[in-house]
Amino acid sequence: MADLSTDTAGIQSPNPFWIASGPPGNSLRQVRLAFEAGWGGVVWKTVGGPVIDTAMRYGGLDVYGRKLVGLNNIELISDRPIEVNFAEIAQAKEEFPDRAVVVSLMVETERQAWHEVVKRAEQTGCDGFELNFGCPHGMSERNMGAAVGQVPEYIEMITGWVKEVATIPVLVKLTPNITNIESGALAAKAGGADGVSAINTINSIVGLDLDTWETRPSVNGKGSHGGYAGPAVKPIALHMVSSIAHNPELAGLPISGIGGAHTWQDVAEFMLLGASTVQVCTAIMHHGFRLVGELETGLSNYLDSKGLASVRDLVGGSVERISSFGDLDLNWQVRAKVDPDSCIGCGKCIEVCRDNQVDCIDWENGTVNIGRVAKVDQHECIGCDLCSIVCPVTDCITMEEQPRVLQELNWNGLNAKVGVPGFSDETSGITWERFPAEVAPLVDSHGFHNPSTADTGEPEPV
Amino acid sequence: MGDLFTGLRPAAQIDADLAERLPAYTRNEAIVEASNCLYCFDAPCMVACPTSIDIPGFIKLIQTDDRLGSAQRILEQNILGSSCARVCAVEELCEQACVLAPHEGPIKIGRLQRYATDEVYRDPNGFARAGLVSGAPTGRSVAVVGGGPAGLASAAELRIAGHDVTIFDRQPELGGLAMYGIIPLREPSEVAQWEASQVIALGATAKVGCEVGVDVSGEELLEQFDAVFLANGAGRRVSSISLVGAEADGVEDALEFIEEIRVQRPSDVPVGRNVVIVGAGNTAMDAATIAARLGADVVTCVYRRTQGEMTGYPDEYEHCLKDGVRFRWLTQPVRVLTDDTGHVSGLECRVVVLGEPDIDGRPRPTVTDDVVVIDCDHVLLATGQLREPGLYERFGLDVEWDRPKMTGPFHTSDPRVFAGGDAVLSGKELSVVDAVAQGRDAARAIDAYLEDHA
Ligand SMILES: Cc1cc2nc3c(=O)[nH]c(=O)nc-3n(C[C@H](O)[C@H](O)[C@H](O)COP(=O)(O)OP(=O)(O)OC[C@H]3O[C@@H](n4cnc5c(N)ncnc54)[C@H](O)[C@@H]3O)c2cc1C
Ligand SMILES: Cc1cc2nc3c(=O)[nH]c(=O)nc-3n(C[C@H](O)[C@H](O)[C@H](O)COP(=O)(O)O)c2cc1C
Ligand code: SF4
Ligand code: SF4
Ligand code: SF4
Repeated sequence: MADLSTDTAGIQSPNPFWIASGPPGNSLRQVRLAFEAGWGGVVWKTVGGPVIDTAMRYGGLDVYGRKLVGLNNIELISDRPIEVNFAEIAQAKEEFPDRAVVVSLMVETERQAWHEVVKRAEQTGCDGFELNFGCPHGMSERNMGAAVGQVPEYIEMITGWVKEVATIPVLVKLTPNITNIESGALAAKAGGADGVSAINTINSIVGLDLDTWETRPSVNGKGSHGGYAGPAVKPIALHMVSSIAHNPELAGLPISGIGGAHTWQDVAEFMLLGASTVQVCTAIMHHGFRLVGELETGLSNYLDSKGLASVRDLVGGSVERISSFGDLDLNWQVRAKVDPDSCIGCGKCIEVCRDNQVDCIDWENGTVNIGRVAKVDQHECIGCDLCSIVCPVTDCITMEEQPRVLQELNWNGLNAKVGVPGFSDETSGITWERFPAEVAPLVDSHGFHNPSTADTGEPEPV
Repeated sequence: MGDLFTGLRPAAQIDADLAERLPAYTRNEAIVEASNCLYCFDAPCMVACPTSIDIPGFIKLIQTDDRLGSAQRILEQNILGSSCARVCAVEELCEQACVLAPHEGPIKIGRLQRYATDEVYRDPNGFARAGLVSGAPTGRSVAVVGGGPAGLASAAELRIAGHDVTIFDRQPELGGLAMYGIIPLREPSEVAQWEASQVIALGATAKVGCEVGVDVSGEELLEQFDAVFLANGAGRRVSSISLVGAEADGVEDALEFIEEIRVQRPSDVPVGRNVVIVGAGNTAMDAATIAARLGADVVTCVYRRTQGEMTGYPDEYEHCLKDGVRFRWLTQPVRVLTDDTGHVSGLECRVVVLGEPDIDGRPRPTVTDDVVVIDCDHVLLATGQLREPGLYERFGLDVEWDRPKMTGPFHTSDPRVFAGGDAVLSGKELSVVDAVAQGRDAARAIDAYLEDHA
């Protein structure tokens, strides 16, 4: 079995599965249960000044009958007295010395206040800090949380204050409610952060009650925007983690990935895009601590199947795969192909290709009602992949690589050849007037770029 | 021996055992089931539905919690959507065609349809709420002979088109076999009654207890109405089989037996202790189920062919087996034996052997001289309905064998007279849903005729 132990900015844990700062990590009772279940670490629910929470603080997004595809919350930081939290944190660390116990902090933007809370918190024996610059609601109106995280200068300043006194690793938790999350990470690094956690929740209104026209959740008739989390935000989180990992100025900055992780596959994806630990909140709010058992089994078996000795071998493994559009090969072609034996005849592919793409799928066996199968006209298909995405049968439609007709061509290369001098690669100076001269031969009779089937004129030989 | 019995089982127990078999979906169950539907393109389930209900559409409306909209989708194609949800042979129709059927199993279209239509069921204003309202009066009038599914569907469609409609039925209540023939396990009679009430709410007039050809003549109808639709069904009595002594006490038409269940409290319907059903079709299975649940000790279906040729549906057969019903295949009843009071005491049968295949490739049954006697005190004949071509003759129509000769879809030899439903169908198409499709489409043909003959 592969080694699952990890290191994030010097914080050790027996596996990469951490409880994210939130409802599951708000007391010793819960953290005991979590550690007994197998979680490798906890980021304690953010401690700071006094708060009072509302009743009705969550809103779930159900999709097609699936519960909790997304979760909105207007919950604040820990509503338990700070000294009670510190006492319990110390006890947790004492009972589970091999687990990572990280304390999430948020106090008002004053150097003194940060110094005091950091010094007090360190007495618990915790392994590190996470600075909560991300909470998008409630605390931000009090000039904390995202109100800090949206201004890189504040991130840098407060991180600097913390680093003046902290003797243990400091992670900065970034808000996604910002145009470019890399600016937040750069500021954290400039302030001396040992690593970053990304992402916090996304500003959201999860929905309305259509009878009363009130928001969900509604607090006695009123609502406010909240923070969005859960499986639906994972793609956004993956992108943000990858963009931090990919930024050359941030190279080597440890990342704790957060946002919609629910399965071992999600954990592996976060790690491949640069995270060394992965934090989970909504999935525990949906399924409880027990879920870590399935994360652990699944991830170990995956590592074994890949012949990897350590989970650390995943970290950043896909980062270099992320390129920019201008580098993508425009002449590489695939075609959709239906496996007639697995097709169940639902027609979804036919409808979506007709309504969104080039209308190149039809029934192979005419008007048969039962036992009909779809067939792609390979000559017309532009290889977009939509049909295979909607097909309800796994692996029924495959995208088949086509023999190369034209040599590799990307936008940057094309632009270098025919673009207007003075334009950069990706902004391009290629206009429709200049376009046909070089590219028209690649366009099929319907006006689609289709190198495999177009009348290629004078093809550039491979 | 001698009499039939009531009280073989406690009445409350019988009521419970004859109550509708499948429970209604809860909102949550319906939404979860609806969520599994793929919303197929050119959906095969819809093609398989004789009334072409927009199945993916109504299921999507259930999934998105618009139950009334879902009911509207169903009723706009099929006004007896509530009955069909319960009585359709879905495993041979829509659910068989569902693309998921051979894989994880079909979407439960029938039960979802019931969930949707239950939104308006029992509502005295239900059809109106589902958007079914009568059209601007045209001043034209149509007589509908028979208030079964075909007649009701035509009447509703004709009212929507604005024509005056009078439904004639010889039974005391509308609904046809949906009212008098279908067992309560599948559909409570209240459903058929509510549907009929909604057709009346659309403005149709009902003349019940009025037999056309007896209480009112064909000529009178042709004089008083601009067109006539014959939706008189496939006849009432069982077709005679050559069974000597069939007039004995305790020998009964299975349809009449089922009708008694519909019109009285089932526990008041007498049954034998040892019941033999002749036949293995849908009516036979229904009668056998009822007899067993009323408390008969032994219920036996005798059929001259084998299980492979029976016309009852496999799931009905399974239900019968669970109720302890026995089946004697390759057995041809020939004579009713009676005791000294004239009551049936046994059925003399001959053993049948299967011979050479006939032209359809089915082995030809040959009756041998080997005799079997089955002791019994109650015989129910379920050998198919006997059509009543006399009615067509009274309208002066050309008749082909025992049905009106059709000159086009729904057209008889008289341009003013139309026919549809069980009256013209046969085989697997003898069903509520086919009758509804026929009634609806016949009404459109009548509407077109009235338009052309203003
Ligand atoms: C026991 C049994 C079980 C069945 N189970 C099912 C089932 O589970 N699912 C299913 O889909 N189908 C079932 N069917 C078939 C279904 O009931 C019929 O196909 C359907 O009712 C046909 O509708 P219809 O309107 O054409 O005829 P009917 O329902 O037969 O209606 C004809 C009407 O015409 C009236 N009538 C006839 N002659 C005259 C006259 N001269 N004057 C006035 N009125 C007249 C009759 O009283 C009757 O009301 C079953 C049938 C039987 C017998
Ligand atoms: C495949 C695809 C292509 C899109 N192209 C455009 C576009 O050309 N112009 C535009 O303004 N938005 C474009 N969008 C964004 C959509 O208009 C829309 O803002 C976005 O998809 C969110 O809405 P949705 O969740 O309904 O898809 C595109 C979206 C998709 C999925
Ligand atoms: S890949 Fe795109 S263009 Fe090709 S068949 Fe599928 S949907 Fe149509
Ligand atoms: S979507 Fe898939 S299963 Fe459905 S018709 Fe197309 S290929 Fe067949
Ligand atoms: S065939 Fe099945 S899955 Fe497809 S639309 Fe019909 S019920 Fe839904």
